[in-house]
Amino acid sequence: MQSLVQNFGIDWKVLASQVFNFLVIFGVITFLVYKPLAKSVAERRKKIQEGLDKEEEASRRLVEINTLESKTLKKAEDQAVDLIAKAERRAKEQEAKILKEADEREQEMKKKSLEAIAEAKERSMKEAESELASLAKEILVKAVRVNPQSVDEALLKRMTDEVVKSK
Amino acid sequence: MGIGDEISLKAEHLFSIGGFPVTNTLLLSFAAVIVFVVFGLIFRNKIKVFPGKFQSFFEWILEEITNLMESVLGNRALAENYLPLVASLFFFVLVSNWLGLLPGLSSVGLREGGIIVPFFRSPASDLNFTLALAIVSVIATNIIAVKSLGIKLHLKRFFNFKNPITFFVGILEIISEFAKIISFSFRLFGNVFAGEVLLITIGALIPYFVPMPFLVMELFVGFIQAFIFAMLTIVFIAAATALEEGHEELQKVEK
Repeated sequence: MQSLVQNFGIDWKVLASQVFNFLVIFGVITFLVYKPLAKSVAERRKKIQEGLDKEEEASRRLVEINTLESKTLKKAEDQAVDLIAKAERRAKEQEAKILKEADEREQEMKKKSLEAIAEAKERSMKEAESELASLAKEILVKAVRVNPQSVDEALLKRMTDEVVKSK
Repeated sequence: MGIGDEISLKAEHLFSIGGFPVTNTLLLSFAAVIVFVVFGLIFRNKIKVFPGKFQSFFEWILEEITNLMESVLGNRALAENYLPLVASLFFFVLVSNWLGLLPGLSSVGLREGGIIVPFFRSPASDLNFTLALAIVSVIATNIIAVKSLGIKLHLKRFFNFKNPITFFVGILEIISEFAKIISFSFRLFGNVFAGEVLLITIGALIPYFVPMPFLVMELFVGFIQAFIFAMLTIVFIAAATALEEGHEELQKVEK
């Protein structure tokens, strides 16, 4: 053992120096290389993850916006169609109303004119009646003035003609 | 003066600082430390959330090591926890091996009686370095095991008086801890020292062009040895912490 140590030149002081050297290198690698590097890698990972999250969020929002857009468009279209249909319906109603009113007015006018005609007819009848009465009166007067004995058919005819002619 | 005179198992002693001897392997080890410190300081200030090529490259390396550790440990969080230790072992061995291969490094030194004693020598070609790392690795493994299992459960692995079999298994475990240190240190030392000897020998025989493939091979060996050292540490950590499940199952069976 002694010769082994001597032949290989083992010296605990040199050995300790080498251990010290290793510890220095261990410190350098741990604190100057590995830890800062791990930190920067972790930071990078975080940033990339954040980017990916944001991207995902953005695409999700885009889909939402797209569906919202199509929904809104559809709604607007529906509303427009509804509006048009309503307007059409209202126009039709209005039309029907107007037509009905016109019809009513027509009916009324017709009725009125018929009434007027009837009235006029009545009036003329009345007039005719009164005229006929006065005519008859005149006939009677004329007849009275003539000798009642001589009253015959021919005479009556002559008188009537006279009255009618005088009219 | 033969080739053998230039080859020495021991690292050459150069000078002393405050009673601490400084050998040429220790000097290169210091150089590696300086390389790491300078690199670390520059790197730290260059770290950005959105990395350039430089940062991406090191992130990739650490990521690969973490993946490898995860495949052994079976847990990402654990792999990240032990990454600094394993990466330090790997890069320290790798950088010191490759620094030791720098051409012309061994030709700069003091001339002592016709032999050049180089200022720098590959740290792993000195048993002090490999033994230091092996001790660090084994102690770290034990600390990690204590942290994840608790001191009681961890000690039970070495001192178990339930029956004679577990008692002897405990003794074997104690021996294996020391065997680990020996195998760690001699594997690395043997490979790197052999590489040094190979390069010196080839260089002395045919100085031009011929050593180049060997140099490339030594680069590869330097990487492989660093990799093996780190990998074995991961495996030992996995073995020391995975014991938990076995113990739990054992306790369930006992109940």
